Amino acid sequence: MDLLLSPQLLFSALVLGSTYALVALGLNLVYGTMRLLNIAHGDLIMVGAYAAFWFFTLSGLSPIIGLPLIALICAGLGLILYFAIFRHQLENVHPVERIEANSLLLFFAVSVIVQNVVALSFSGSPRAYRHLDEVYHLLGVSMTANRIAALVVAVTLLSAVVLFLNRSHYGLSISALIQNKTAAKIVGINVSKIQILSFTIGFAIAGVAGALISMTEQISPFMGFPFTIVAFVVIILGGLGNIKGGIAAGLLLGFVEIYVVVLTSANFRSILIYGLFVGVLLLRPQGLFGKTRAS
Amino acid sequence: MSDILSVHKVESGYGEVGVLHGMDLQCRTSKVTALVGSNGAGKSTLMRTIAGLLPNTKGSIHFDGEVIDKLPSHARVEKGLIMVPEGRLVFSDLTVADNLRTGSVNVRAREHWQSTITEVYDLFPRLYERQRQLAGSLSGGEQQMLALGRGLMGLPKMLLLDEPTLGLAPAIAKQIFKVMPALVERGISIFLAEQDLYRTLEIADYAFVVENGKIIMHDTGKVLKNDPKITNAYLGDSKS
Repeated sequence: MDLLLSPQLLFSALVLGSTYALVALGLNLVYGTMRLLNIAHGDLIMVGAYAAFWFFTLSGLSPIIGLPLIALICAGLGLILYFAIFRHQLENVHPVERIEANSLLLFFAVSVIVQNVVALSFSGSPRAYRHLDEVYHLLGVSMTANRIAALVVAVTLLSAVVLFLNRSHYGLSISALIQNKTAAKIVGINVSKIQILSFTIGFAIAGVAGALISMTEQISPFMGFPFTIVAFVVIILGGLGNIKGGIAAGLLLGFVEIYVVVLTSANFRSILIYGLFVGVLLLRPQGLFGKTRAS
Repeated sequence: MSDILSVHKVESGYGEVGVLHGMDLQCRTSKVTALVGSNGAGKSTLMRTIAGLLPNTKGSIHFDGEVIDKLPSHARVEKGLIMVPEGRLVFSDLTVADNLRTGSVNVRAREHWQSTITEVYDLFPRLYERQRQLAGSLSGGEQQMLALGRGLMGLPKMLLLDEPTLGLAPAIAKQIFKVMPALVERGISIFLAEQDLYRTLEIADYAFVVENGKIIMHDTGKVLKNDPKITNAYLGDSKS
């Protein structure tokens, strides 16, 4: 019982939960506004992680300082993919179910290509670097500086995105587009502009998440897939296209994972994640925070 | 008197299926023009084509002196041509106030949104009372007011009203009809597609009758209302 109430565990859960929330946020923006099923999402996280690794290894640039640059690289990759592949789908393919199906296959191809390009360029073996790994003791919690930094960056970015969605007219347009594309066109929203914006922001956030993950975990060209799964589990739990629901679900999944692994064993981690996922979907098919959407 | 909107030989439809077969009509500036006809005649298809949700395969559409039929829908909103769609299509998970704000995202209206929203609340005090509520929790009539208010937030020169009273209680339908002359007084032109033929012809300065994707008759609302052909075909005997 003491163990469950320990601040150490709470800190771990917060770090993991905010990372999951960030990982899922980018996917949710891309799915919500365009109905594109980005199963290469984890591979973008991998690209962000490699960018952070190389900046640090070659020039000593801290990933925290380099975040804008890493975000820009992933956003650029997003722009290229958008104009090369996905704009055509969004403008010429009807109905929306066919866009979803096509995007799944296209992103599968993107995933395979990105993984193999990175594996060919930098070999398939795992890498890691040591940065900000000094340990601090605060309120009885031992934490490494890189975990604190990851938590601070993730929480800041999540809050910034929520504020942006609530306050700016771009954010309002994104929320409107997520809910109803026809209505968004009718009120005068420039749908293709908002789609490009969401696509690039979604990719940039994935890159930032990857950079944060690379500070604490080993990276490899094939590290992305588990994150793709986590991202899908989180956004389905939170309600597809529901940005705030997705953030809450990410935090929840982080907490459940940490606490149940402590109570049982690390061997149960995957069973747990999928069990929770299937259980929630059986009871609430629209997700924990999902609302009925008229589209 | 000039025409703010003119539709010339427009053909349109869904995929391979043609619905409009050479539509011709004109709407006068600052007047109510009506489009009447039975279900499936092509009223909504024409509205959606004018708003830019459907492309016209042939013909042309002029608005305020410019050809607009190749413009995307948001560019038509920018020019002041704004649709209030059938079925209202409010954003049900956004609040009433945020729904109204979405109406003013176009560049022309954006900077005036605070003064416009006050005007909309004056016109529909009900929306003011419910501004913090989610649009999905409103009644059908309130959602229709919200859709209309959202359209006004874009500072329209012309409103395309597609079946604004469909499915509403008679008292609320009456209220919606009462708002229209007030809008015209502000200089907004109205193009109204409606199934409530009697009230529509009462309010319309001019009306077009559509059947099978073509205009088969047009005249002032007053003349059409007293035309036995119209009253027999669309109204039944009780109201004629």
